[in-house]
Amino acid sequence: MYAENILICIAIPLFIALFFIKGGAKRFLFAFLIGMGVCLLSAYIGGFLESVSGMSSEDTSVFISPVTEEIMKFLPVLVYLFLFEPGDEEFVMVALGTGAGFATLENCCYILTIGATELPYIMVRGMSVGVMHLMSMAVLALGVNLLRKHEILSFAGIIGALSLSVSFHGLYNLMVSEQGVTAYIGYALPLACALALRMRIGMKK
Amino acid sequence: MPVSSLLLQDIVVSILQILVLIFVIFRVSRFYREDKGLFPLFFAFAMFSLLLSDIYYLIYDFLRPDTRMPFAANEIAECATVLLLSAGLESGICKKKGFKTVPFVIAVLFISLNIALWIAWSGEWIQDIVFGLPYVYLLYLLIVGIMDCKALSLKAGVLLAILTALVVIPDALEVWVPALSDKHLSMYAYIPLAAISLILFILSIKEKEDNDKKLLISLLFFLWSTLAMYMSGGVFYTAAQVVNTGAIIICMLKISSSV
Repeated sequence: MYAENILICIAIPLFIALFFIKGGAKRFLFAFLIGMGVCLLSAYIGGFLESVSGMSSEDTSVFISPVTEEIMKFLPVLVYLFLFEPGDEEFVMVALGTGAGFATLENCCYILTIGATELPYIMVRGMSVGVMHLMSMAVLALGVNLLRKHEILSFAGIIGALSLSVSFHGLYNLMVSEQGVTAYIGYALPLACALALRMRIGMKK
Repeated sequence: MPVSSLLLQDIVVSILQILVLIFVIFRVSRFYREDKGLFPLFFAFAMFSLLLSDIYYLIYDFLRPDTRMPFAANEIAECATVLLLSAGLESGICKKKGFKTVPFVIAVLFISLNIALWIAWSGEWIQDIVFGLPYVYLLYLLIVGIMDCKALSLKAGVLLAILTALVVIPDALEVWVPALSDKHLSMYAYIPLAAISLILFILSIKEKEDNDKKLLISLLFFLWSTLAMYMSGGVFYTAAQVVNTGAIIICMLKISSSV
């Protein structure tokens, strides 16, 4: 399975679309493309760490992948933050775009490898894993916005915000790694968090 | 799944600490909402990171009982806890007044020795070094603050230093002197370890007047109880975690009374 080819196939029309849109939609789409690229790079790094650490692929995906994937997703968002100093909503939008792009390429690669015949598996990939990547970026962006609001965006604060997304992702991977009740709770966790966050934002407005 | 009694103790105490942390976070974040300064915000954020780490550890205990956790996501959360507390100290109590050599040397020596012992016990040298470094900075800030505010008397400071040496020396001898490796010297270290915890507990309860002194001593108690957990094994680890939970409550009470 050539993930690079999948990326090229999906990315080209989206890249061309960039020349025809403006404003927030353009930023979101660009972040989406960056997210897909970051997903590919994360896969390379994950493969390297798996061979260096001597862990099994399952243990790598449970223990190492959350850290590497969240750091890789965070880096372009951090660069955007320091270069452009966006507003709060814009920053959240770019973070979500990166997360969505990451989730999309990851799901495409999995589906092309495993196949799309098993609906429960597809639902898990879409509604759990996909939403989990979005939520981890949302939590990170909200954490950074809170620090910016109080003008305390220091190294410690950035690591603190990153730890939220890494812990969320790590918890999800750990919970779904074994069959049983914890796996079902894990599958439901991202969507439950998304609904809770949406309700909280709705209440604040 | 059959669980050992030690694992069961671990799970019970972890659940206790999680419940305490949830309460503490809600309580302290109220002060941030009431605009009572930045330290409550940093403290709440730090405790939230610790909460996520504890939840991860608890779920790991359920799913993979009695197996050692490899490097995992919760290490980042623990690192974040220490860094956020350091940032909180910088924002309020220990505003930068220039580099102080003596506190820095003390912090580096003590934490380096701890890191060396962690590496000797676990063999995980990269993560122990990387995630041990934030403790140097936190301890440095605490020592600077305590010396500036005179939060501890000279007598108390000397006593704590002697007791700390009595904790570290037996552990170091057991690890690095082959002839002493089977003498269980580390068991003797638990006595001064408990004595330091008791002294810091009493000092943090007794200090009621000066806000800065209250916070510094209670944070020192929290840091010490965290390091005590890493120095302990078996039932002693569980006991240290209970003390650590108590230290979190004391920190919350001191923040409540100082805002």
